[in-house]
Amino acid sequence: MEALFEKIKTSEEKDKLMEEIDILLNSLFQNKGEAFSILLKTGVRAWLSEYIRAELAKDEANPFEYLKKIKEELNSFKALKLTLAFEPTESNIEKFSYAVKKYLGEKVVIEFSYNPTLIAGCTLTYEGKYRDFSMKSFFNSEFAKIKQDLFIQMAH
Amino acid sequence: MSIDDPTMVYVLSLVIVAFTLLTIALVVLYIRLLLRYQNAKEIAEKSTGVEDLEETQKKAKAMIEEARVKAGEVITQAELFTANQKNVLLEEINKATHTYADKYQAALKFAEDEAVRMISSIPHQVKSEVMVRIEKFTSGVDTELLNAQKSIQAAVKETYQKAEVEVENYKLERLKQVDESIMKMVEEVSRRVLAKEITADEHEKLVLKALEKAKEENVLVRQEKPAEK
Repeated sequence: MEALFEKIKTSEEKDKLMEEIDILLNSLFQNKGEAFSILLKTGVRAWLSEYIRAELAKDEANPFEYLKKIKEELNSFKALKLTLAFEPTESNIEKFSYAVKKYLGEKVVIEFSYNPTLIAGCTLTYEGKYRDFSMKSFFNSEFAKIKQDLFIQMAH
Repeated sequence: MSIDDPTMVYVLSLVIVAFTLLTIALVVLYIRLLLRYQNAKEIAEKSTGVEDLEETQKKAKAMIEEARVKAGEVITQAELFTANQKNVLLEEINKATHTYADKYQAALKFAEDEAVRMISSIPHQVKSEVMVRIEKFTSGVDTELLNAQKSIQAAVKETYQKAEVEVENYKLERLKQVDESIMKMVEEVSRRVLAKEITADEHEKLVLKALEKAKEENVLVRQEKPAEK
């Protein structure tokens, strides 16, 4: 499953995968299991279909147990909320996800949000901890200092 | 003309009744006049009372005159009387009128003298009392005026000082607002310029650097996998 989880970088991707796993799990109880084969072809993305087929064939695992395990694993994923001053490209997401997984392990997804007032940098929240590494924060503190100095000069 | 004449008796009765009524009216008038004297005593500061007496006297005379004229009219209108009878009657009426008028004048004179005597004693007492009260009132008013002047001066001074402080505070507040507005403008412009100047590559690097810093600050801490049984 490691290979599967490597592909999951954002919370949207995790949600999408969960949705597909649910479709496959439900199909196991339709038309005496025939629906599963059909939906594996038509109901999920190609790479996922290919991956599940290969995994099931390799270990001769029970599809229900296997899919249930994937779902359980996905539910244990943690989310890192990352607010950016720009809308990230695929390349940006790859790099950020790589760094996050390096620091926190595979079972973490990034929940991106966009706030242009940050100027640059980001704010992040993880496990209840919040940090503001944005340019806005830096800019505000620096500007406050400048403003204070200026007011002092004006007062004299 | 005999006194036994029924017509004459009838006319004389009428005349007597008229004079009786007139007398009652005069008595009532006299009582009212006395009551007015009493009232005049109470309001002696405003009036001496003599004017009222004179006025009453005039009114009484007018009433007598009016009664006399009316009696004459009644007699004149009586068709049964002959001119001679009328003259005799008028003469008698005039005599009676004069008699009653004299009596009335004497009573009136007496009442007037009495009232004047009563009223004339009032002004001296009242005057001294009023003067004392006026003096007290004047000094009281002066004191009150002085106090009011002082309190008004203090209130005006206080209000002025408050207004000065408020104006000063307002000026400072407005200056502060202007300064802050200028600062906000400068800040906004700087921010926009800065945001435009940062390239995509720099954005990426700043985020990666932030993640690294979060790791250093132990915000991003790897959760250890619980040992499997």
